[in-house]
Amino acid sequence: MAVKIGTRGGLRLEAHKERSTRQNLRAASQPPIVVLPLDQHTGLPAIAIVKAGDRVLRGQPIAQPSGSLSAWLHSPVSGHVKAIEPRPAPHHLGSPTISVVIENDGRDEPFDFPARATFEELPPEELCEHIGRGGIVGLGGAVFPTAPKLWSGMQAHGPHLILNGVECEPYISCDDMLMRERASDVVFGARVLLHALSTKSCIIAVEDDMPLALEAMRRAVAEAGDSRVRAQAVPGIYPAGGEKQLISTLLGVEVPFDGLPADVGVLCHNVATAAAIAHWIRDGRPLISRIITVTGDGVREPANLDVLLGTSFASVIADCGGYTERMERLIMGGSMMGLALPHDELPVVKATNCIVAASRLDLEPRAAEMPCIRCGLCADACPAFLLPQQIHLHVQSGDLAGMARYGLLDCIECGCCDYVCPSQIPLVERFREAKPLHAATLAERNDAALARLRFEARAERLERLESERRAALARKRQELTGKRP
Amino acid sequence: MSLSSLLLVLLSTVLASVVALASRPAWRPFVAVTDLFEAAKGLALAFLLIVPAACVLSWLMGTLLQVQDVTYLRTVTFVAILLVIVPLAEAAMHKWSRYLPQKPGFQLLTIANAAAPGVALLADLRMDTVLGAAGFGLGAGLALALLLLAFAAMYERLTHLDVPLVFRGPPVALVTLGIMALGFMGFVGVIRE
Amino acid sequence: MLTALLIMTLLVAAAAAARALADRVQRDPTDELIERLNDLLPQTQCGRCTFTGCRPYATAIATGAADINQCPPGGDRTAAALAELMGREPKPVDPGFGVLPSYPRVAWIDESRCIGCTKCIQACPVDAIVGASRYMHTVIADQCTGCELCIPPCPVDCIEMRPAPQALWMRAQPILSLSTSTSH
Repeated sequence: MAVKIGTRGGLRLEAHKERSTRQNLRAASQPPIVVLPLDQHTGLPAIAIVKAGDRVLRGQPIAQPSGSLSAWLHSPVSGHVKAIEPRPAPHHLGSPTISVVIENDGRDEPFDFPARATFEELPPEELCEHIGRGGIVGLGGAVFPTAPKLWSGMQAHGPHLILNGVECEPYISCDDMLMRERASDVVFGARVLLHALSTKSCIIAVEDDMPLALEAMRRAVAEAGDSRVRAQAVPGIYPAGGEKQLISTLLGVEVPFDGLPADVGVLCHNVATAAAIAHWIRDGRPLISRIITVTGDGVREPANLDVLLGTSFASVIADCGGYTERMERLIMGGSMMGLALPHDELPVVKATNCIVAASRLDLEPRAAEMPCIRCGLCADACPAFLLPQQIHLHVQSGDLAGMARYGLLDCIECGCCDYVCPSQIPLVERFREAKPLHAATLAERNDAALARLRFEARAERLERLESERRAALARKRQELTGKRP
Repeated sequence: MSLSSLLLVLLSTVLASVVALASRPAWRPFVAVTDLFEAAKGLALAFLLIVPAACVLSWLMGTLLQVQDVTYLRTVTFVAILLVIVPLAEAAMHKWSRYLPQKPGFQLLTIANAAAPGVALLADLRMDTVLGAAGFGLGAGLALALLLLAFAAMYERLTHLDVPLVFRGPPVALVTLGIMALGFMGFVGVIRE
Repeated sequence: MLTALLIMTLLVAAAAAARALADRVQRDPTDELIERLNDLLPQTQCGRCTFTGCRPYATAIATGAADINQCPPGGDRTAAALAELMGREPKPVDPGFGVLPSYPRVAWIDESRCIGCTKCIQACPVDAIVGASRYMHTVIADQCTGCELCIPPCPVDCIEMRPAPQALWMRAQPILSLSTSTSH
């Protein structure tokens, strides 16, 4: 596999997308049962508003947000709620989490949402809230609830809007297919977002090695005739689609490690999120399905499918012809940042963008780890301009301050350093383990600082009350005796 | 004294300083400085103050002794000069620097290690004028400071590595310093004696 | 001979004078040291170290009135860091000052028994209890440091220690697996 390291970090990787993009998008088969974890978004889990035995319709809200950082959840099928109980979930690597289990009655009856004015007539705050009611979260993998993100964008007063169609990770082609076949949905979503953020520019970024998608996007933009939206090609170097990397490439602005893009006046959404917004605002269909790439040498007919949330992985793979004999590992995600899963009896969640049934051909097994030879290839490859070998040195010795000094918190876990390391050191794994350690120490120190502030404030208050009391007493004495004390 | 011998003297001084900095907490030269490199920075500053002053003063003292014909006192007076300069440098650091010297570490390290270039000076009086002595002192002080910082940084890096148990601490430091010294020995040929 | 004696006497006198000057100019390191020691302490303000808060304990360490192994909430990690700063050999926390469980705990008021006397509110060093006279009292779990100073004053004994809410506990989990490396 020829690999070229880009001049500003990153790797040029083989895309492995031809097999899964040969056929058109098609819908996956209706599942008999859907399992919907309540915490399939960043933030606090949603709270169920139905109970076992209830009848639900397609698109009906079944769980509501439990705080400012949470999201709605809707039923993808009509049927009965069988149970609300812990079930294994892929974003918890197969361990159970509370989920709503619904039995599909096959009737596919839709839920009627009350009619709403067109989005241009809604004030931005209301539009924001309405988007949240569709259960819309970031479909690029981070599943960040879109409504709170838009809120923070609104505080930035007219931020630049970027739609991220740069699908740089190998094997994943769901955004590619989405843009080829539903580019107009993406443009509609862009216009909704422009109105919600009261801003005037939107760049839809597409990788330059997805020519069909780029062409379709350009056509849709031209057809929509909205001068605020334009499509832009971006060099296909992994990880160009990383949010911070994309913002830096398009606008030349760097997002600090402890900040968000909104802090520098930018907001970045995935193209699939925009399409989901279009389906909700224009067609009244909340987020109940998403496009998933099913690929790898371990599956017979790789394809991109439009899958209802809660469908089991096994069912989706069966829709693609089932496994081949060479199948070895099941991965959710792509080959660089994907997570290996223990089995396929797991439900599709909002974060599932790709299922790779990997064989030896796809993913070479890792050789034994050897000591770092300080060759520096990792530093060349890092797209965040870090020194992975220095971070690794400090991670090895458990030096938390040293790790932070070399930018552990800036690491986006893209896997470039891991990929090029000649000593086969599992760098990303090490950094992933070190981050919670560091976060815990930081949290501890923050807690101590806060406790100290409150303690000092209390001491000050008591002292002030005491001196006021003494002053009042002295005054009283003076009044009574007529003399100075 | 040849340049390579002088370099050797400086390198052994630096090795002793850094091993002392790193080993016993009670020998730390500064109050509340736990980072090895920070302590080395402070010590380097101290050397920059002490070594040139020691060289100039002992050169002056040397000529005085020669005039009075009591050159046998050279070694003792050198030690006494150091005992005058080091507390003054300590006072200066207390007043104007953010490093606070603490007993006994600061005195231990500075007196013992500032004596090293002094010994080199005494071994053969190569300076003809006071300016020469000042130059030599400044050069030696700078060299000491630079080598100290370089070696402290390297020692700190060694603590993060997976060194075999028998080699941890001074043994691997000695090996590393030896390799670093090889590099510096290359500079010796640049200056013609 | 005389000149030699004269020179040596002068030099010794100069050395003595220099020493005296250095001792006079000596800057009191205690303030900065106290600040740095206080930064290492967990700010629980519990008083288990026999001092009335974390800063008094830091002051005591700086002046030499207390040893570095008296802080149970800080644990062995904090004791090691304090030892490192003071330039001493690290030692484990003395169990005579208290033994705490390995997971964080917060106070919890049994609302069915609370009589609203405000004694616990006055006792809390970080104002983590909300309430007023004859109104219900409750502990804000996020702000409770686990110092247990509210438990003795309660006249109806309705306060107990419970494991901290899961979010706080999960956050602390990685630290529990950290070795007592002194890097801070």
